[in-house]
Amino acid sequence: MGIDQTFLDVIKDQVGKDFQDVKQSDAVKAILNHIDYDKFIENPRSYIQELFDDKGSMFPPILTNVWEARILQALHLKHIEQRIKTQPVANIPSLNDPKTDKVINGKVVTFRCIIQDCLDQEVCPSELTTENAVSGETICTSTLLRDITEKELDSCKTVVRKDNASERELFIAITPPGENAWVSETKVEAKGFGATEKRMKMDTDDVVDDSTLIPLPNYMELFPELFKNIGDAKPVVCLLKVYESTLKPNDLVEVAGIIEIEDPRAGNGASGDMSEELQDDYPKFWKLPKLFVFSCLKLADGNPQIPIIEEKMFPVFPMSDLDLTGCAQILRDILTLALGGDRTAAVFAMVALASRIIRREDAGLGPIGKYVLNLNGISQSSDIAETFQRVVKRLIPRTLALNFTINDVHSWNLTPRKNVHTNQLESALFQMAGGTHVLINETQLGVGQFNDAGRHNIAVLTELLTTQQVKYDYTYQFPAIAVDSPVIVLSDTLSVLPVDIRIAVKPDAKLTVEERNSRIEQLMSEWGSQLQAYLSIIREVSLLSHPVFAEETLNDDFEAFFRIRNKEGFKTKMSAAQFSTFITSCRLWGIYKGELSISRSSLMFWKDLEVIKDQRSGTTPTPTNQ
Amino acid sequence: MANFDYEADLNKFKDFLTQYYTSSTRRGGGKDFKYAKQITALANREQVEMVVEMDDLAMFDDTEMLIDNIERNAKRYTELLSDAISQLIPDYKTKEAPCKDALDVYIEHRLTNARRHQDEQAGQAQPSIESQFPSDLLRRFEIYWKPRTSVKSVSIRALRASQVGKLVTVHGTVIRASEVRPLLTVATYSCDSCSAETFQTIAGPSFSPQVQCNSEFCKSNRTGGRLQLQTRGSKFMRFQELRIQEQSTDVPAGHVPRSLGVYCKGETTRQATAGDHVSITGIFLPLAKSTAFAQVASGLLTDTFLEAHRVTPLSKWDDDEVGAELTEAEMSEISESDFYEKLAASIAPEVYGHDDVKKSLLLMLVGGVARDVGGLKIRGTINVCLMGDPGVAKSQLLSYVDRLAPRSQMTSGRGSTGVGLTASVMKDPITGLMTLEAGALMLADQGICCIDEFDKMNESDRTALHEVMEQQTISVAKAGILTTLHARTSVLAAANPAYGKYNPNRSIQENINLPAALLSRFDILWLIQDKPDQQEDLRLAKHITYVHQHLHEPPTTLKPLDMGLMRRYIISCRKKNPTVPQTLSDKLVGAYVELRKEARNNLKENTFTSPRSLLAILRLSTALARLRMSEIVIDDDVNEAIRLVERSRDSTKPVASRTAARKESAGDKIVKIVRNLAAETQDQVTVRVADVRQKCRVDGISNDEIDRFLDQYEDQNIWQINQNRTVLTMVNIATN
Repeated sequence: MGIDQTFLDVIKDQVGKDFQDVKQSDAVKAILNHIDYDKFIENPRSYIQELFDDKGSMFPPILTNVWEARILQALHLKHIEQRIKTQPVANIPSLNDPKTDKVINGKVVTFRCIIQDCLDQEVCPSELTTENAVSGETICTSTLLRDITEKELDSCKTVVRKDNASERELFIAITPPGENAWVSETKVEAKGFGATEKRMKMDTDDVVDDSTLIPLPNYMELFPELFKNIGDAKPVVCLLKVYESTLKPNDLVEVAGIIEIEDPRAGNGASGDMSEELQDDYPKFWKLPKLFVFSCLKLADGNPQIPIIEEKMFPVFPMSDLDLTGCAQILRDILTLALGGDRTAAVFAMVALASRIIRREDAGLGPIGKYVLNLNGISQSSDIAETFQRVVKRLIPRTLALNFTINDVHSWNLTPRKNVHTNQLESALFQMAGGTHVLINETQLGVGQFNDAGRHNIAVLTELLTTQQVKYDYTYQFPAIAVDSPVIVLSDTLSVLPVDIRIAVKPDAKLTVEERNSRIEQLMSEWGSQLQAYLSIIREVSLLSHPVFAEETLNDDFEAFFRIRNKEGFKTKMSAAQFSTFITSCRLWGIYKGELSISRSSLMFWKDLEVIKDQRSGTTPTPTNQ
Repeated sequence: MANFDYEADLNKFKDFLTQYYTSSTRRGGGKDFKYAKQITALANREQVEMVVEMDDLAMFDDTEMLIDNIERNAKRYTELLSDAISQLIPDYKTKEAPCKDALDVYIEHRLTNARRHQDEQAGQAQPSIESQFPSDLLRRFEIYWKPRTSVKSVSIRALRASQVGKLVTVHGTVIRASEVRPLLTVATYSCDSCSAETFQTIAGPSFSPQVQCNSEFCKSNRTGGRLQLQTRGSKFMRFQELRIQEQSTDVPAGHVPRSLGVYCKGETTRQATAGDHVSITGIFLPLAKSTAFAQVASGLLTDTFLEAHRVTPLSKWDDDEVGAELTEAEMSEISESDFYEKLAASIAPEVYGHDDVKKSLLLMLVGGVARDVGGLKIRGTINVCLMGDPGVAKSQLLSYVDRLAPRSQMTSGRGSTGVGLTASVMKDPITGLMTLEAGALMLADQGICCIDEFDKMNESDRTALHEVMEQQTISVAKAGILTTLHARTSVLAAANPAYGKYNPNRSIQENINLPAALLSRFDILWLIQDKPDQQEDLRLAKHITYVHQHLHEPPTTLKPLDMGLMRRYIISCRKKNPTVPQTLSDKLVGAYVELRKEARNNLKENTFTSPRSLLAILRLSTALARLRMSEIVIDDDVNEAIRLVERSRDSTKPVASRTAARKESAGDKIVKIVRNLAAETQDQVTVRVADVRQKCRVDGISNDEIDRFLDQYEDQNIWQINQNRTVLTMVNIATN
């Protein structure tokens, strides 16, 4: 398998090299030099006030909310500049880090999260002019990235300028559901692989006074309704306050912001007086840490090593560290071992791992890029199902593992539901970020009957499998929320679910279970981190690239393949959707091989696989006269 | 920046209220002082609310600035207008108003007392009597604004910070309506030691009661009198909290609907219940900050709400957003010669083919004309059922109709909430009262209810559907609630065959497992089958490869009409009420009799022909006339309606055609034999009839059948046989 040069070029094209590639508006450029990011990190609030006091010297007179917008943009640019530099950034703790158990109010933290729910937006004055009731002294303060506190208003007469309000979008953000352990363990700041770890944690050595350190509560206990598929990640929930955002539910982002959290040790204090009425509307939300966001960053595949800025990947490691050819081979080896030595099934699994939805509105084919794979022939007693899932979890950032047995199906809670009384969106298993793999283990399925809940869950699951959308329950309407989740169904016999492609796994008895496992371990320890980065890039390329046929004549070849396949003589007809999946297979396999267009060799390769697939499933074509 | 000169504006209000008039509609003309009249009624306590129409204000001289100010600073100007009215009321009082309630008695009593007290201390500088009491306590009227008709309602998402304090109009679906409760607006306390009265005006939804008496007496004597709340002397208002949620059309793809809290007071309460589509005009306000600061600290108290001034239930068909008239250019775009085909093809343009299905969906959207003849109600809504194998784009068609229809509900036969399809009686978790909750069919009243997985409905919903689909009502008799609700809904159902794939050897009832009584309520029933076809395969293959490469549909000659335009056209069409002229009724009757006859002849057939079929044709014809924007049904409409009904019947007749095919299999064999024989000959077209007969007899085909098919295919010009009937020449068969 050779990687062709154009592929490398294209990947490099998708990979940004320098921060200078990032576009900046002139107004912001002008102030970028004024901003001292280190000083901001050190003491964000007072630095902002400093900038605010100094705004006359930096700007012609402008409205405060315009000033706010420019400062925010400048801070964002400064932040991403630091973030994508191969040098380790200033010590900003991440809430996702399992070791971050305490935070300091008013400090900058990062949080990799998905938007769980959108609350109403909040309006606040951009600046607060207070007049001291006693001395009559007026103070003008900026409200950028903070809330007005009780203390400020206590002894003051407030004067608020009227048409100078800014609005902030409020979001509930939670740790990405189903995130696997390796993601939060990735050393984001480290240069390249294996460089020394620089822990993303509040460095307690720096803080003399322990009282400023506030322990994070156990969010799993406080908000069990928000964490239905927590995976290996640390459950954290935050109330994001975002200026000017285009965020929507289930977006996976890394936000940087100033944290503000109620100290539980301060006693009940004012928070205990929460009126019942309000509690009804926003249950327990006052216990949430608030994050005043100034930077929102997309990540390729949710992998913190590869931020995306303006549709370009900026990996924090040099691209030359990645051995693309080697990765593809090792990946196939590992999957082969996980599937009991079946190299053919491993190809199908590889394709399933790389698939992302590239287009939704279509002519009845289902979303383009959808890949629901059924690996059948895995008996209940074999270790394959378990090993395969374990391996996938170590390769893919986020997974949702579902056990498909009658009892399990009855107990699933799949669709998020808006609670009209609390005005809260209750999360469910199918609230997930794009690119979350769903692994369904059907090998344990026995005989039985589904009850009402089970039938409902099957319908929801079927909708996910066929249309890649989930209808959230908003009582009077059921908005269909798009999901982008490739699915792999492991089953003994043919899966009962509507899958796109089925392949029977034929384990090879040459190696024992122990031998296979130790070999997998060996490969994973050697290649694991490379493969994770490699797969993230492959999945992102599959999303960003534009597939075309390498040659014009391939059009006819594909069409001919479909027509011949549908002529008499084949036991099973190929449906339009299956043909669509076939082209998707060719395309994704091409990406592994380093091709960005669908080539003839891919077509030939998959034609052969079709034959093997049919042979294995016992629907071998009978020879026709044609 | 607006110039706020409150004094001038107050005077302007007074001028407007007293001088504004409309020409009376009564004979003889004259002036109708609209607001002055109302003030009299307010003064006499015959009226409580006064709605000030911005349109009237706009008619009055020199009020542009004033209207602008009101819209910008509505809360303050409401206050100002109230002041103006309060000042005018004494002059307009024509009779002594009777004391209506305890509060009236109380106020009367206090005022008299205060006057007496003032008289006693005459000569001393005294504040006016009224100013001793909070103005809110003395006012017994409520002011509401009616926005200018030119103001369009916006979606909840469109409300921004800049609109705080302004008069805005939003639309949405009510998702929660609280009970109507009394809201304390002015609390009156009396001191237990000095009996002095203290008043507290309450602005927000909560308040902290005063405890300590602040009267001169208590202060100087340091008695520390305790205040007791006087319920009789306090002023209460009706209060209801609504929560409205964005309508599905306003939610951008991938987003979730937003909601907004609405506070309704006084006369605006009880205007809407959960599930209603409403347009609400009100003042967009930040939630009062006077309450506990914990909430400010929690960051959620800068939340906003809408103080309702006008709650208008919307029927989604005449939603003002979509109700805009069509311009001439738009009209001409639609009304081309092939507008019917074009409109139909614009329905789910991404779904290829199925032209007749799309046509019937178009007619369903337009709807037929409902008739009410002396208590006999005949529905106008057209019900369509799509059956078919999985993966034939049924759901795409459904979801497109759901998006296109101005009012619609999309649901699954297995509704995911407990409410189900019709309506259910629920126990309110807070109050414990029994309430009716609307199901999808009720919510889609006067619209379209798209039901996917129709075959998987539960029994109770299915029973209720019988009533909905013919009588257009839902009767509820549960938990002591007996009522009949409107459900003038078109039902668009999609059903999967009971055995996964349509089995042509079974009847429709067996295939979709629904009772005949329910099926007969569908005006049109389509069976969409996935039939293999080489040409179609090629087209499909081309299409799929194209979509994969270009990530968009291949360019087509058809440019689908814009959805908004179609929606507006459909709304305009629905305003027509075409009638069937006498001349056409014979044709209709004839067509119906023909259908019945056919049904009688095909007893084994799996469709139903009942009087409902005649009504179906009528409905489709009137819908077609509506589509032409005509008031009269013409011959072509009826022809097209009959054609559609027949086509839909044909689609469900696989059994019949298969049986025919099986009968003809002898014919097929003969053709095959002839073809094989011909292939062996030199010219490849001529064979001897005797040879054919011999081969046929070997295959067990009787002589009668051989003769019959030889003749039949000769008639069909497949072959020619010479006069002696010895030589057969193939004409129309491809030799391979």
